[in-house]
Amino acid sequence: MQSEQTILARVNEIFIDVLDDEDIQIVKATTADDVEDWDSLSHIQLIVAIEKDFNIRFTADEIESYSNVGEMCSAILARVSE
Amino acid sequence: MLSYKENYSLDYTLSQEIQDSFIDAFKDTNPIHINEDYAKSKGFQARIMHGNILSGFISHFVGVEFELENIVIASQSMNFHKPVFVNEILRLKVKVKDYLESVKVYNVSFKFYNSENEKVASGKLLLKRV
Repeated sequence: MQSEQTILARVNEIFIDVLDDEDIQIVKATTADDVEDWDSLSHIQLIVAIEKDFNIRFTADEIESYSNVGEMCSAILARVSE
Repeated sequence: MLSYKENYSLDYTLSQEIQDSFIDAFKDTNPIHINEDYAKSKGFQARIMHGNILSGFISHFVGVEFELENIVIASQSMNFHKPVFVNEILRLKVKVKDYLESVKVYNVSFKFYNSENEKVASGKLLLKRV
């Protein structure tokens, strides 16, 4: 059974892989302002990797509505629990 | 939903003219690309073409052949499996795997084959609608 914590851990692994930074430790409150290499290009790569890993699809409106990583993880949890 | 072809196939010739232009532009005069004897001494059958010339073909595909306009390359990776030589004809096969509406990106893979149908290079692209 997935929880927000397990989702967050998987998302953290994706951040580490995409941004090639073993030291990244995201939390629910993390935003792009908190991660040095999270720019417009890596944002695309992160979303592509997250959609692939969880086998889900977001809309542009959904992505824009998330104010931090936690909100995105909640959305992922809801999607994979359907 | 935008409609687009999923598979493309184009032939490109690795002409001497293209290599000359590449060297003129980027000054990569590594002897393995321009000196036949040196290349043979390193175990190649002939001097090998610059692998990044293939990136130029990718650029042409994205900018001219891909049917959807207003596209830029957001990300590109390429692996080189076998050397390529002057005057070889390469077949580029492109597969548009999916379109991610969330970030307006086409997820694309590509492979180059030589005339022996051997895979000489392969890679991935993220093409961003702008």
